[in-house]
Amino acid sequence: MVDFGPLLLTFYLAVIVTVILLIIGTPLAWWLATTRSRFKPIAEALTALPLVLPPTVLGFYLLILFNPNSALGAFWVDLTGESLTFSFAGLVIASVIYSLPFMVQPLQSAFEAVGTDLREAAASLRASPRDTFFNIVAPLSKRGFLTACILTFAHTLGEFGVILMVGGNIPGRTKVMSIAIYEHVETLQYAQAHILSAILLALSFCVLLFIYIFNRRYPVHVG
Amino acid sequence: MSDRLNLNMKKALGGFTVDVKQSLPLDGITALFGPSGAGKSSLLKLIAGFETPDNGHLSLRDKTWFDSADKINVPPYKRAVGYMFQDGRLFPHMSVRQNLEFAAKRADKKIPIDQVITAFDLTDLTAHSPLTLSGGERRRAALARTVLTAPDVLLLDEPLTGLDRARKREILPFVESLHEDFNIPCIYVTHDIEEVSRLADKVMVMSGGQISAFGDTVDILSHLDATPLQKDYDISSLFEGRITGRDKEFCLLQVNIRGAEISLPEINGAAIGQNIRLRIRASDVAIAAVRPKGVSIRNVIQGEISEIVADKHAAYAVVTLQFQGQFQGQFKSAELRSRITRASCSDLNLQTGMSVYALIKSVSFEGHL
Repeated sequence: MVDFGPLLLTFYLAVIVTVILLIIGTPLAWWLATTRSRFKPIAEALTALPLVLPPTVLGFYLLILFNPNSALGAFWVDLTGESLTFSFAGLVIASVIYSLPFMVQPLQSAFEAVGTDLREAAASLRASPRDTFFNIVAPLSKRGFLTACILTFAHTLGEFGVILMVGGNIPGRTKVMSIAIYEHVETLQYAQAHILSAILLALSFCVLLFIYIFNRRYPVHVG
Repeated sequence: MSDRLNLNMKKALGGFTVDVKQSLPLDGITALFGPSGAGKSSLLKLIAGFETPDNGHLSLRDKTWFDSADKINVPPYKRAVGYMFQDGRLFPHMSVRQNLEFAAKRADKKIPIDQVITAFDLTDLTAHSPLTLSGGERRRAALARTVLTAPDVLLLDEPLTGLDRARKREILPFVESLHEDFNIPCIYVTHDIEEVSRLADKVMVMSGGQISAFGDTVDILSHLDATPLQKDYDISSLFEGRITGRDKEFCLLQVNIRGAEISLPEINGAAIGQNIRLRIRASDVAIAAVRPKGVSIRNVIQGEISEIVADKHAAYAVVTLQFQGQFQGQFKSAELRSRITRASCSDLNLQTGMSVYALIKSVSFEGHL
């Protein structure tokens, strides 16, 4: 019998990560799209880093950061009484970092596509930058938001390396689909591995198909 | 006492520097005139706040918008400046009406939106998307939108560029209404001398990033030849005149310009006693050494040659005549330019100080005052 617990946990994780990234990725993308700061290239490089870094490297550093002996790890233990390593919260933080470029890059392209012209026009009509963002830029970037959310969601569904490093394999807490599949293969339970893999494959394909059908406008850099 | 816009700003931009120092009375339409690349649009952007000066001061009345010494730089959206962009820049995800409402909602002073819709002839277009409008319609909608913000000053950046002559004629009255109906002072960027003479009360000439001349339209345009701008435009003379009489039988109006009487074809809606603006192209003025007889040309003005500008490598020379007389109770002099061949100049032995007769072939009406 296939255990669907990892499937539900994976979806739960992907939803939370997408929501968090929408909240922190939007201002970051807006800043990157509009700033004239000389620090912009540095911020862009940092944002894109998870695209090129082996997940194990990222996972390794996060593991050290999450360790109860480190500042962040100790702070978390003080706050919640639990360790960040091998916890669902640790998984969320790791996934947010790992999926960051998938939220920020499509949004940045969408905001840049709106252009300075309309922002100047809005300013000449006495609209503040915040007003301009919510009433002009965001509505014109609808497709960019859709792309960013779907890519972030899909990418979080499929991650493996980082999760293995910081989350381990605890049923109900950190055992997500990719980990469960890995375990099924390790223990030669091919039938279960097949079922979960097929679900993930079909889902990922549908998500990408949806994006490419509904959104051909903004360039999306799939890592 | 009119409001003043105080400009005193420097900004290095790529190859050249915008360096302006001018106190502008904000009243009517001021044309910002000059060849492309003179820095006209850059100056508008500095006033609006889209560009930040390297140093200097910018204020309207008692409101300081920029001051490098006091570290003041008011963001664009807090400046009471309207901006009409070349392409209109309507928001594509909103209907025309929503575009107008966007402006009206954020304005300090409320102008009834329906009054503006009527004034700019947009009644049938309010539900349309800006993407479906023609070039002329888009500009009308953009003008209406910027009027609704009730700005203290309205900056227009070549608002008619890219429209054909007929379309321009259609839009011009709406631009005039900005000042006449809504009482919004305008700074109007253009490199089209016809737009200047038709619309502007005052002209600020810009070249090489600096303001090279500022004054009343008639004064500036009649002295424009002294500036390097000359070669870019038809040389012409601009006059203010008063309609003094009407010949109903031949459909002619008599006009007094600086003491000289000339006649021109009937103008619709003209009334005796009205002041009008006229333009005479230098190429429409011939010169005779003695008062001519038996010619069809009716407008002949006697004057004294004050200047002859001739280029040895060109066929033509520009002769400036000075004439004077009573106008509106004051004794005034005026200049009239004539473009004739250097060969004629030599045949007639024209010299400065000579008294000659100018034969004016046609006069164009540029608007009421």
